Amino acid sequence: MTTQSEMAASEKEVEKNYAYFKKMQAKWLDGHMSDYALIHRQKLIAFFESEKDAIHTGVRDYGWGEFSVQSVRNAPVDLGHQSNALF
Amino acid sequence: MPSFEQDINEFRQFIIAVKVFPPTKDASAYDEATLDAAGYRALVDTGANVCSISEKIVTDLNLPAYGRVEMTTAGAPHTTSVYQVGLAIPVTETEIRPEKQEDGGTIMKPVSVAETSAGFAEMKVTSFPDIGADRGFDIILGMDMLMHFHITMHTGKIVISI
Repeated sequence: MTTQSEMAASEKEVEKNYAYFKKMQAKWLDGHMSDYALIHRQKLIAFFESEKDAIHTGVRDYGWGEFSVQSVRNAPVDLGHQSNALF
Repeated sequence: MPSFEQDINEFRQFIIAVKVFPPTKDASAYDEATLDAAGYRALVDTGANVCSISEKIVTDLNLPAYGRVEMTTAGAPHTTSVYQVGLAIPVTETEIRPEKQEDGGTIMKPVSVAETSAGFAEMKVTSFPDIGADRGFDIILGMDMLMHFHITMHTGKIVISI
């Protein structure tokens, strides 16, 4: 568990990493479509076949809130019926 | 196999209790005995392909995000944060035991014998700010968790076996 300020910082870091990911995604899709990218401070650390392995490495090397793991395919998820009421 | 039954509510929703565990410090396997879990109400939603939690849970448990994902909804698609949590369903185990009646007779009644949690799963969940604020739930239980259970719905009840 993190503190409130660490949580806000982690959201900011993840947002910046996501912007970097979106910039690089098209390039990474060629050859890494089914992989997971471990990103730290807007820099690609490595590709992993398993999301769990990517998270484990991120936590071990940087700690929670200091890294992002993005599916290179980044397929949208469907929240289902309740989304009709919620959004 | 633990199982429980829940009535449908006035909004034709099945709401059940779910415990939420924050991620372990080193992303190792969860040990339920050593972690504090918070209890929340969850909507059983077979139309959702993932589990989702409210911002309230994110704030309550100070959950660190580890990624972003695009979400399709009835409205415009948008991007939300991704978190790792442990989810478990608290289950009251019961046994049928005899109970003496005033008239000297005996009836067999279900008696609670233990509180346990079942169906523990390490889950990737997304968050939304509006979930549950006035709807009576803070979690949407999607198919990524529900697919592991045996679920029966009949005459306004849902029976979940884990």
